[in-house]
Amino acid sequence: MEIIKVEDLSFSYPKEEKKALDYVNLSLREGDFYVLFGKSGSGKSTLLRHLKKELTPVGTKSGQVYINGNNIDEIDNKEATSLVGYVMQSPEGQAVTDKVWHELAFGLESLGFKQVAIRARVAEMAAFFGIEDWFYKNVNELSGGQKQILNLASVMILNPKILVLDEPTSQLDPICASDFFSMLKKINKELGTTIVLCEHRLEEVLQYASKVGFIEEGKLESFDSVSKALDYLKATKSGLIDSFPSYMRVWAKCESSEKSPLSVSEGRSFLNEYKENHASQSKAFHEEKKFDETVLELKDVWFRYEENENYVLKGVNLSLYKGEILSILGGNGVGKSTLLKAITGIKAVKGDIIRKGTVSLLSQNPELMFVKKTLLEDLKSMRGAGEDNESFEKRLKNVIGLCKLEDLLSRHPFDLSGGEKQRAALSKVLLLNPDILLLDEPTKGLDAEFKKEFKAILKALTDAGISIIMVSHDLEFSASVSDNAAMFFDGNVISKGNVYDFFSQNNFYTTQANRISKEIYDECITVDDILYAMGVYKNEDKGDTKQIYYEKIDIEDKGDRNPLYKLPLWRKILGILSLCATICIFVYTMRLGNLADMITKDGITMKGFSHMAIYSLMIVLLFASVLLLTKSTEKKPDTHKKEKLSKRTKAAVLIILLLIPLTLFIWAAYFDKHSFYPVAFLIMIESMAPFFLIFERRKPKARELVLIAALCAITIASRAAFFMLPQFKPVMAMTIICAVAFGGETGFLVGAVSMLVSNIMFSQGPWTPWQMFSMGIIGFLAGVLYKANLLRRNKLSLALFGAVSAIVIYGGIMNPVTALIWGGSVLNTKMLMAHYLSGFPMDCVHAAATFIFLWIISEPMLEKLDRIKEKYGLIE
Amino acid sequence: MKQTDEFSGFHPIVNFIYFALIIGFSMVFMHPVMLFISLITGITYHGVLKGKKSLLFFAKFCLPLFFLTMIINPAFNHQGTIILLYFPNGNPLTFESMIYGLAAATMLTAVLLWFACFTEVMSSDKFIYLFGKIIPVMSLVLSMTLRFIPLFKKKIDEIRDAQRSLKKEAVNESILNKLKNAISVFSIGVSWALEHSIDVSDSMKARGYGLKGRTAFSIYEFKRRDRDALAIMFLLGLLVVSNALMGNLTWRYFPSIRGKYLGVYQTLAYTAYFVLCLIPTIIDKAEEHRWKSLR
Repeated sequence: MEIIKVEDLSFSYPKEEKKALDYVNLSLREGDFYVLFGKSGSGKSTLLRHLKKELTPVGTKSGQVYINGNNIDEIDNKEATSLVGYVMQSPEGQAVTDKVWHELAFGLESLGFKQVAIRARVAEMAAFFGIEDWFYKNVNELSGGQKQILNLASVMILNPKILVLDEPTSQLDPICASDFFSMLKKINKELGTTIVLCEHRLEEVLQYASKVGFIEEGKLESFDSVSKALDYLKATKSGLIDSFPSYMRVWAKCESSEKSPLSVSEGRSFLNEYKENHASQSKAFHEEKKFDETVLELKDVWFRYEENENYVLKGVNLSLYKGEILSILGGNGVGKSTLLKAITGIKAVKGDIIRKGTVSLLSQNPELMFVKKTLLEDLKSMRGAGEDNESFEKRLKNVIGLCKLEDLLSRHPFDLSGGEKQRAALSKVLLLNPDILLLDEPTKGLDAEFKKEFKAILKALTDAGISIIMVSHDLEFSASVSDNAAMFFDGNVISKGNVYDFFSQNNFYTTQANRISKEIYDECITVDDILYAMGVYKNEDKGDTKQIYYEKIDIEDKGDRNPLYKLPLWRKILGILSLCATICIFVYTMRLGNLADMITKDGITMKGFSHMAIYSLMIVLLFASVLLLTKSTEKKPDTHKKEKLSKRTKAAVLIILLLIPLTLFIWAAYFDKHSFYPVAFLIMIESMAPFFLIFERRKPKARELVLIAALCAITIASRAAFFMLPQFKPVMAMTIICAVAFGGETGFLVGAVSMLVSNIMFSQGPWTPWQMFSMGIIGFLAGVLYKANLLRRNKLSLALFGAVSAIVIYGGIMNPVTALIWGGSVLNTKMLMAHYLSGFPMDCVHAAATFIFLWIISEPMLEKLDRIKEKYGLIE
Repeated sequence: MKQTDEFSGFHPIVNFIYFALIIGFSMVFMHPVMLFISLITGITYHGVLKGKKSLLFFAKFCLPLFFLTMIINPAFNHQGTIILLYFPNGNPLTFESMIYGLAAATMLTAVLLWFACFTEVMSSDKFIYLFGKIIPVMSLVLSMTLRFIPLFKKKIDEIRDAQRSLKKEAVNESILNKLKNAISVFSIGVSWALEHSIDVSDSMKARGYGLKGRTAFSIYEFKRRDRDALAIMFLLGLLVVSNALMGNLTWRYFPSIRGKYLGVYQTLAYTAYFVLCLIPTIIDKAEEHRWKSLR
């Protein structure tokens, strides 16, 4: 019986004319292993998502999808969940919870399984996947490969009949990928699960495939076997053949009536036969490049991350020549990336590194390099110090041309595809005008098409005299672009040599092309080499990469500083003066701490008042200095639509307003009036409860939950970014920003959860619920005031609101609470005042930090949140 | 999952009720005997949990707080009948306020110690489990937040490295520049976190989140020993509370100090409270003893 049947499926995304899927037909039987391939952006993911009911994209659809004989739209949601399992690309992005056991149980929880049943199923799965040892671990303790196996296991636990995987191994290194595929094979063979998989890396997976198909421009072609697909690709001379294993590529490019080889050994016999029947050069062609000028030299370089830890780099010696491309290869986690960081100087090392010229690193994750809203803005931010417009424009044009970014300039960097992101990041790095370029796994997860383009770019760069060191797991790519290669092992560069010698001398760690041609044709390490040796390619058409050119233009310092950063002198002087005054006052107030002087039986003394006056002066001066020292931006009209307060919010307020007086009344009427703490505690809990309960009752969508969790987590994790500024905690600022963007309730939750989690992580005390409450209330107020039009969406009003709430609300709640907790039953106004005064300097620091933070970050952050709201339809 | 002591291996509900009882009692009862019991047992259990580090915690946080509270109270509180001397501003220093200061300091230190034990025993997954019983959605948010934090921390480090490699003048940065850099790192971190959270929500949907009748799985099983422990805690707690309701555990500090011995039943309450506070220590030591004798 057909388990998947797709009939005439067409689909286009909203606002796009082009069809993402164009009359797609597909029919798979139970137990099939279907491998789908195609260029990126050809519609692979779109097709796969149509097989999973919950993930079907929004857009115009025609045609039908039948799963297990039923139309997918008519399958009950519960059944749909367990019928089709879906595994995505990112190993990190799919795990929802923090513990392995919880992750495994997640799907079964959704389906409403009972405790005992989940326990049994989890145990079974852990045994099948051999992951019993991980059971109690935190998800983040696992390696990338382990995470992906966990993601697979937590989908398989639902016992799906069909397993759909969207490039599951693109982020893994070859060994982990291989483990993953053998797990898939086990699932397919032992459980009979139907597998639909799309991949760039076909080498490993084709041996398991029972059917293959490819998509081009939304059109799907399917074949009953790999060899039929190959015959078709050979006949049509399709470029898609480039993602196939080398023996198939060799077969497809030469004229032969034989059937395509399906393994390395079949590939070898194919070549042997070909050599007997055809005249050939018998040897690969390669030009000898001569290098003379050294640009980089490492002499006995040692490095370790922490004292008492093992060294990662153990006396590395390495040199790089001008115009050379050097590949550094080696297993996972041996320290290759660390070596690159050491060369850039990000990490301080023992030993000598001599650099002639500037060094720039293109990091493994290109997304981490983009700051601005559009690619063009981002590239423009790379303008050199003092460079004038004209010469920068020239460099910019040069780089944009090289990396083919012309059509992408107005896009948001995060909206680009993987290959586009990589090219954009490269261009950003190139704008630094490096003489030495370091690349960390530049082809990770990218398709053959991209590699071809990238190869051409790298050639152009070396022609312009730039030297390149590349760290990679991708042997084929390294072999095809590098001049020299080196093996990195145990903290050292083991063998460096000409790339041909390097690969042809290795037996295990070498390219597949070398393996199939060894002892048949000499010195062949790439498919192009073999084709040349076979006589298929002549010298002039060796390789089919297009030649492009890059001109290296030096950055000229013409003293043309960016006018945006210029402040008038008077502002500078005044700003610095008031900043100094603030610091002086702060130091002064820290030193007088005798509270007994300030507060007496009759209340606050003159000294106490003067003290408060000094504090106020300090705050005013601080704000003044911030206002004076930061650049002003042009005013933008507040165009955002504001919704009215929702019924839920009103209900929350009403409940709070009713409960609190009631509690006070009961307390006053029936209880000992000296025990303040219990009643205060009760009121606090009563005011928090409605928020949490309403949140539970309205059953928020997955996206909303993830968003809140992500915002809380980033708020706490960002302490790592501000580690050098100890009191600078962005929690309050983020709470206010979230409240403005997503409303009072979300603001409350972000504030309260952030405080709770940071207390769980650091230390808890009687203050925990109070801090949650204070921060939550600030978030709620910010949201409500914004909707009521009292709080405006600009940095000044937000920053002022932040500073005031830090002192009035946060300090106003936390200081008396400290008095309440510690004061016991003898609380009096003087004690309250004493606590307030002693807490005041800290509150000021808090207020100042919040003010500065909101002043700088609120507008860009709100833009970001708005973008997310729009892109993922999160508007309430 | 490393287990700190035997009591941590009990069901989270037992752990939570226990700490709620002890911390509640410690904050409510100002009776000197009760305070003393709570302080001593708090020190003991913290010692069991943290070993030598406990001493450091005590010296660094508890002692300063103890003395501070002891001094602050008489400085602001002038109730009481026995006047020892007068402050320069004319306020009296009373014997009662000093004693009350001592009591308050003891209470504070005890509460702080018990909270420290609470943090140690109530690991995040126990918290999530407990919340899951009352507010399941919130508990999931909590679990997700804890999952994201290490991930984002790692990302922020990577971003910092990536951004640093884009800067030409890496050395000699002013504070203002540092702040600017930190903020741009943070800002990229937020972008990354938000864009990637979409994957997580897809993964949740793909695994049926949002279907009706979601259950909450836990690795915790309510075993016989949990039931027994709860029963003992209930009995001991009842003894203490009934005594308190009868007024046996009140102690007057102002205007003059007064407390009295009220017979066997009161002594029973002290003993009960003492045993209650020692439960985790007893459990731990008993288990240790059993292991040693088995070997």
